[in-house]
Amino acid sequence: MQRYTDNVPASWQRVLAVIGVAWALLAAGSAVRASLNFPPDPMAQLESEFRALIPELPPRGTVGYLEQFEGNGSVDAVRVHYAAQYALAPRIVVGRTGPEFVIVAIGTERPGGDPRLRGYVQVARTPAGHRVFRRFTP
Amino acid sequence: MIQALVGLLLPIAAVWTAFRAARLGEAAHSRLLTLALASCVGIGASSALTFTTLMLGGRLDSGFVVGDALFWLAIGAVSLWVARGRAPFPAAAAFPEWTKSDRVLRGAFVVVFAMACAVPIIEYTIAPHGQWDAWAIWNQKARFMFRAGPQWVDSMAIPWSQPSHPPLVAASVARLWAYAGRELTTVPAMLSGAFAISMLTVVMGALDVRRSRAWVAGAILIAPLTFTHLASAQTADLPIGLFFIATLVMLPMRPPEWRNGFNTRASLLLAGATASLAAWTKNEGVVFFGASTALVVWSILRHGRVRDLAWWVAGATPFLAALVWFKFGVVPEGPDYLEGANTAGVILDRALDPVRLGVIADTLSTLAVRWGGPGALGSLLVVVGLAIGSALRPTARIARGFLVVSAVMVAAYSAVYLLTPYDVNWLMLTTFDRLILQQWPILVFAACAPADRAGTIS
Repeated sequence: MQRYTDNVPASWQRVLAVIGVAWALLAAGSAVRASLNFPPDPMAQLESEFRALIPELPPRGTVGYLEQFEGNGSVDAVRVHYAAQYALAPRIVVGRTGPEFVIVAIGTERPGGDPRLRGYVQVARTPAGHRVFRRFTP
Repeated sequence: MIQALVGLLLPIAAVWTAFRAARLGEAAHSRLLTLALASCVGIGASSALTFTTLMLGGRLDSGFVVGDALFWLAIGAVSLWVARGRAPFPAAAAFPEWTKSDRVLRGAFVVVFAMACAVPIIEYTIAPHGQWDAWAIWNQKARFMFRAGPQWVDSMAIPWSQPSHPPLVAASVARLWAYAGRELTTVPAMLSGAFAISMLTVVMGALDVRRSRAWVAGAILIAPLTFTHLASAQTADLPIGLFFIATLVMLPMRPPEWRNGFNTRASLLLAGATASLAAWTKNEGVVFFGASTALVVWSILRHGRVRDLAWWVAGATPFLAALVWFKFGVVPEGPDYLEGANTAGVILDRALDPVRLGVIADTLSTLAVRWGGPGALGSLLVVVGLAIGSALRPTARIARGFLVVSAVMVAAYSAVYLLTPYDVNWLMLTTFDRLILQQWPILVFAACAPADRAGTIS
C-alpha cells in the first residue's frame, strides 16, 4: 500500500493527522458558535418592502431612485439602493431623478421639501413608508 | 423545492450515465470523484444550455422545463442503452478493515462534517438571500433571467452587478427556479451546498477514501468558518474553487500504465471541461484556464504526445464557445476593477506607488493570519507551509504542479490589487477571503497529497 509520504516516518504522520483533526474539530466548533452570533440581515425585510412597489411601476425599463440627501455613500444607504434593484428586477433602478417613475425610500428625501423631486407627484406609498413618485409632464 | 432538486439531479445523473457509456469514469479511478465530476459537468452543461435558450430568445417557462428535462432524460436513456450489459464502473478495491484509530478518525470527521453543515443552515435562517454579492450580483442576474427571459441582458446596465463575470451561477439558479416555478431562496442555498459537497467529494475522492489522509484533508478543508461562511454565501467563489481542484486532480490521476492509454485522454477531456467551466464561472477562471493549459502543454510536450492535446481542447471547447458568445455578444465592457490600467504609464504608476505597496503589505499580513475565522487563525499560513514542504520532496510532482498553478492565480490576484483604481485596502478587505477560498482546496490537497510514485504530471 502506498505510504502517505516517502520521507516522513509513520509515527510523525500519525501525530500530524491527530493535530490536523483536533484543529478541525476546534475550528468547526468555533465556526458554529460564530455563526450563531451573526447579526440579523436586513435584506429579506428590505426586499419584501420594495416588492410591494411592483404593482405601481412599469414592468420593465428605467426607474429613478432618490439617493439619500446626505451620507449617500454609507454602507446602509448603498444596501437600500441595491435592495430596491434586487427586488424590482428586471427594471433598472438608477440612482437619480429624471425617469418618469422615481422611488423614494424612507429617509432619502431632504426634510422640508427636496428640490430633486420638483415636477413629481407621489402616486403610491407602501406600509413600510417607501414611496413612488411620478412625473406627468415631460 | 422537490422540482428544483429534480432539476439539479437530472443533468448530474445524465452526465454520470454518459461517463459510464464513454468509459470516462475509469479515468478518475474513484466512484466518488466520478460522481463529483459528473456534478461539475452536469451543472455546467445545464447552465450553458440555459444561457443558450435565453440568447436564442427563449424564456425560462414551463416549456423550457419540459424541453430541458426531456433533453437530459434522452441523454441518460441513450447512455444507458450504449452501456447496457456493462458493469456500472470498474469494481473499487475493497476497504481495508478499519482499525480503532480509523474509527476514531472517521468519527471525528463526521463530527466536523455535522458542524460544517450546521453553519450554512444557521446562516440561511439569518440571511436567506445570501451575502452581499449574492443579491447584488449572482441572484440578481438570475432574477433578470427568470423574470425577463431574453431581456435579461438589461442587467448589464447595472454597474455593481459585475457584468463581465460569466453566468454559470446565475443561469443555474434561474434554471432551478424555472423547475420550482418560483423564486425560492432555498434554491441558490441548495446549489451552494451542492458545490461545497462536490468540492469535499473531489478532494476526498482524489486522495482515496480508503486512506486516512483523505479523511484528515476533508476535515481540514471544511472546518474553517471562512469555508462554511462562503458555502452559505450563494456566490461564485466556491464553484470556481471546485472547478480549479477538479481540473488539477484529473491531471495527475494517471498511473504509469495509463500514461499513453485511453485513460490519459479521458482525463484530459474531463480536465479540459472543468478548466473551461472555471472560465465560464468567473473572470479569474480565464487565468486558471491559461495556467492549467500551460501545465498540460508542458506535460504533453515532455512526453511527445502532442496529439493528446486534442482531448484537452475537445473537453474545453463547448464551454469556451459559450464564454466567447457571452463575452462578445452580451458584455458591454471589461471588468471595472482594472479600469484605466491600459497604458504602460498608468500601470507603472500604480504598480510602483509606494503608498499602495505599503497598504498591500500591511493588509495582506493581517488578512493572511486572520483567514479561516475564529478557531482557525493562522491556518492558511500553516497549510501553505505544509503544501510547500510537501512539494519540496523530490518525488512530489503532484504537489509542485498544483502549487505552480496556484502561484499563477495568486500572482493574478496581486496584479489586480496593484492596478485597481479602487481603494486597495477596501478591495482587499472585501475580496481576500473569497479569493483564498478558491485556492484553499488546492493547498489542502497539496499538503496532503501522496508522494508521486505513479508517474503523474512529469
